Amino acid sequence: MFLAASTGEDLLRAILQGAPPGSVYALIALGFVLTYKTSGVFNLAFGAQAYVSAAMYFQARTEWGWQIVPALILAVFILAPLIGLVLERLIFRYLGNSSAVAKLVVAIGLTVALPSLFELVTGFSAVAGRTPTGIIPGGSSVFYDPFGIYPISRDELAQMAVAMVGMVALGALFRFSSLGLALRAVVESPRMTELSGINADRVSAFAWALSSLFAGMAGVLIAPRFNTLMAPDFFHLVIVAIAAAAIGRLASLPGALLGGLGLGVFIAIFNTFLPRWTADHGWLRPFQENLTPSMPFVILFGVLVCWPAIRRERRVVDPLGGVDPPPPALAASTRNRRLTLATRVFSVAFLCVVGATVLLRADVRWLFLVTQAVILAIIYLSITVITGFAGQISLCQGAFAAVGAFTVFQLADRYDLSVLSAALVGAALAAAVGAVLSLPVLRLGGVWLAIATLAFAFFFDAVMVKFSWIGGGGTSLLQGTRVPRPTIGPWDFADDRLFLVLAVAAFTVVSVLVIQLREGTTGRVLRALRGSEMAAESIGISPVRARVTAFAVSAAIAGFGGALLAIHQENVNYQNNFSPTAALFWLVLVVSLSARTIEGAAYSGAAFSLFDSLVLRGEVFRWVFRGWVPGIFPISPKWRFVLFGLASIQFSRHPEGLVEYGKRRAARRFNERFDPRERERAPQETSP
Amino acid sequence: MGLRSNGSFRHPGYQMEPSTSIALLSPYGTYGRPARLNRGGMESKVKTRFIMAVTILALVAAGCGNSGGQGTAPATTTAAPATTTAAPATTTTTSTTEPPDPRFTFVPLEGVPGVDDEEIAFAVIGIRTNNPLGTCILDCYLDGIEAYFAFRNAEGGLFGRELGVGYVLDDELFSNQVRALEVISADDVFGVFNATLIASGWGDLNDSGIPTFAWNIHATESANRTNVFGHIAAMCATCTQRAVPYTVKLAGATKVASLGYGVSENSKVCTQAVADSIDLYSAEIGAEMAYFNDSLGYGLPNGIAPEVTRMKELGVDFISTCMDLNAMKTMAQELARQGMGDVVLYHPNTYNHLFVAEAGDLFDGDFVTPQFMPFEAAADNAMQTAFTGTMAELGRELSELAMVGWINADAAYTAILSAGPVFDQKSAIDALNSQTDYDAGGLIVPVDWSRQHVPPVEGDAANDYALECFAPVRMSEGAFETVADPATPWFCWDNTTLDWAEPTQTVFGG
Repeated sequence: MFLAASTGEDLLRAILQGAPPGSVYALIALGFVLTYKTSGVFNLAFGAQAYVSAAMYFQARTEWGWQIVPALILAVFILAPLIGLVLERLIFRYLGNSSAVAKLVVAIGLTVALPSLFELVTGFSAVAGRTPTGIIPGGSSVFYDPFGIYPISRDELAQMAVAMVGMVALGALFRFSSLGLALRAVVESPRMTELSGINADRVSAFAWALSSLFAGMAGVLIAPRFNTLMAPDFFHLVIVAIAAAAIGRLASLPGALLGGLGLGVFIAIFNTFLPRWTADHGWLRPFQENLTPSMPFVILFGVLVCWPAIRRERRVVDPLGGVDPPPPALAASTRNRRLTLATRVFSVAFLCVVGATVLLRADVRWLFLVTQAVILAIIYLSITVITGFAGQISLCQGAFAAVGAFTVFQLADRYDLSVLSAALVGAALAAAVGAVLSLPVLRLGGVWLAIATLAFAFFFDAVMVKFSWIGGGGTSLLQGTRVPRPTIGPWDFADDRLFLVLAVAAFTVVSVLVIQLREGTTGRVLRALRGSEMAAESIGISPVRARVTAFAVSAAIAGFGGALLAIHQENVNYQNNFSPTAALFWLVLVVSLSARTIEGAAYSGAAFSLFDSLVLRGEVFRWVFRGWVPGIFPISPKWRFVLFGLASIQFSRHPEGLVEYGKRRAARRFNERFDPRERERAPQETSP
Repeated sequence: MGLRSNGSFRHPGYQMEPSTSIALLSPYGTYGRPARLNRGGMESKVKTRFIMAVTILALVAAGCGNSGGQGTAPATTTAAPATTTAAPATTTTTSTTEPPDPRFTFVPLEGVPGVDDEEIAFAVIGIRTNNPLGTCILDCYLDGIEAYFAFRNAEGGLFGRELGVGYVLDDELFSNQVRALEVISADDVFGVFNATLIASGWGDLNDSGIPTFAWNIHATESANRTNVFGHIAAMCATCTQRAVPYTVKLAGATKVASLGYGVSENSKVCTQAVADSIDLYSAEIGAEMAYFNDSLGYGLPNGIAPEVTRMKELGVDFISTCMDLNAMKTMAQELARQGMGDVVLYHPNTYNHLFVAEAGDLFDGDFVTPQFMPFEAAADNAMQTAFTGTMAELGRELSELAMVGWINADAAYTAILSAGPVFDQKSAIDALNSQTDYDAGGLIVPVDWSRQHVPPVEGDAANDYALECFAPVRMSEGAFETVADPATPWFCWDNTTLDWAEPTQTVFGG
């Protein structure tokens, strides 16, 4: 009897303890649903938008000494909608008929760019311990404890109240108002909506302003939860809240609210009872150690994989979308032969000059950066395969690369195996992981596949890396995850120049394999599936086999690249190189430049590795002007995030990527100037 | 933004122009430009004194070698370069019968990176951008280094040269290795200071033979690297220690909890080491482990309410953590909410005056252990007086990282001083590595650099500190106060045995 009473009280307490974080997840999940319903965008940048408003409110209240109301008006009712309007006008208006995946990529770019841009413009920076204040006086110091079990603060009550009111108001908007109907109609088909006299652009702008306002409100309400206001915290909350939004299938506002609250309560119950049980049942302890920190990601992955409703989710398709032409072929396959020849000759000459310069003149830093660029280009070829060829978004390429890197470390450290052999083993292991991962997510498509892979990446980050047989565990704490350089016959690759040659050779081999894949049966199958899965199936193509193959090949390439990176750096710098957020950044970079070509991967590797030194630190000027660098250098490193993130803006207009776009334009100009007869055959400068 | 002639950058706002860097009030009461040599235009009277001083120095050098006496200093007598000795500005009143201060002996040096006739230049690498903690690291660290250099330059510099920061590099969290390689490639600084959260470049710096002085929160990256000198020696993360058990005893607690993050191996190992320590000394301190959790999510994204409830049920009255300061605040707030505000917390990383002041009375009664003599000590320590005085003169805030920077800068100074006036990177490293009792003028527990690059293991006296010491402070009303007598702020135990004993209160540098 006593036990039952105690358990009941514990359960009630856990519910009360889980409700505040649950209401935070619910707020964000509602924002997700709102944005998705009104714009069709799976807005990963929601956290970034929320952060900007929260930081603005914090700045106004704490730094400028404003009162609550004016600070709230500025941050939530002026800045937040303004950001929404700007995003809609500059970016999302051009993405109306684009795939959900394309919109997701742009949102990831904004996630990277918005916080840094805000901090550069306002000079805002986090100060440890300077806790944001809420919108209610005494919000964090006044508590209510109606049950005498667990007190809840005013700030938390405000979060819950706004989540409830928001759900009701937004639900009413969509269900009972003509505006709500118009909002949903514009998402379905802006062109068809305009046929009925509705200004789709204006409705879309209103939708973005509304959803951004909600993001701003959520940000200001959530901010007191953090003792130091920083953008990454908001992003992590968003990842957790996606699970709640997924429970609502991105369509149901009550589902999102209940999903958020349920998630918070479930985690609290889990954390309440599991540690207690492990005292008597030792076999449960591994679950506590490994599942507790990764609970949100496990739930997210589980929801995506096991929730049938998500697999049956109706895709939003514009009935008039069929009038759009299919994506054009690569420029290289259609352009004038003379131009192709000239381009190749120039490229080879350029690479020879650059290669000779690097090999003969570069110091250790430039050798390191160039070698890193080449190896990253290998890893980026994995994105070329999975995204460029198969049309799937995988956000766990960092985890695959880490599998390769850790394999090299473990095999070299424990079994003294040659690191190059270990790199091949690492690639094979990564391929196996990729293939296994692809099986449960086979039925997921587009955005859901991307989110499932993101959940896996965070799970790998939170759990797998900790195991001694993967990340080294306690041993690595004292000895590090050090990896030796190889020696082959007379060649000792401890020499950085020699290792660069090895990396270039590896990139060449992998590139040839990728081209073979693209031109071979597998590539054609993937292209067919990308065009129409149903049509492909009707001609006997197995999407299961093709997808598993794509994942495995992509993971193998990433694993091989990760292994090479570890050998190059002589250490597995997991946090530096392979974290989930790093992989997000990779994707934005590759698809912005060109996800379908080898050049795209190469340029992306160079951009990631060399941009900082060449551009932001002004080395280009030093070379050109023989040592003189303008006074504005070095530029704040935050510009890297801003520029790379905003590069995704052009993705909305040129989904083929900047590199491919440049090649098309060059081909068109060449034809106009030198070959009028082929003008008609020239590739389009832009694709739809 | 100052562009140097070699094309490298000075950090805006942190330029160390000679006129500003030495126009400070010396702790010895000397104003103005005290000791800078003007080798091109000396007055004849001064020249005479220099000639005499050179003669005396040559005799002293021939007889005694390096006055530091502890290094494998270059053989100044065999190289026999032309030496010039100058004293600080106060030399005008110094009797010529007194031996000249060997710190001011100038010997022209060729081919030593970062060293010319005017300056010994250092690079500073640290994290400013993308700092996930939101704490002041690079800028505060730089404050301490610059303050130390200003202090020494006001005395007359070192071997006729000023100490200076050549350039500052922000490693942006993930670019420590690239920044390290940048310094190695430039080959234009004598040594490197490093305060970062991901120390991926320490291996390259070590391999290149550049003296590296670092904020040593990285057990792995500092281990067995003899060119890397932390503000503390190589650590044993898994070893038991007496600091936390003794703090438990001081607090009069009986039920202890040890908490840490699951995602960080450092944190997990630390959490286990604390639990092992309590278990080891349980009988002596009259307390026992009641709750253990090393699987919390980084930053406590889901809060810590269920865990606090559990600790409340178990009667926990002392909590030791291996978490960052933001998480400590989250936990303290949750403890207060659940009526456990009186539970004593042991903070590993909260010696941050601004942070604690912002928290008001939230941390009242909690303990923090800085890794150096706390600012709140009143130990009549000349080095601490110099630190606080110079920081005040420069208008810089006292901070943990500033003190770390000061200690690192002192290690650099000591290395060169021990190497003697004909120094290079290797001789400076060797000289510091031969120091068996280095304590930064009493600011830190003495380190034997001849053996303490190797991380010790449990009971390994050969590579561990001779004394196990800690200098706890207690928080009260948003401020700190020493737990021990402020004049003797350290509690120390003999480290050759793991047996429990009451600690001895002591002070170093006397």
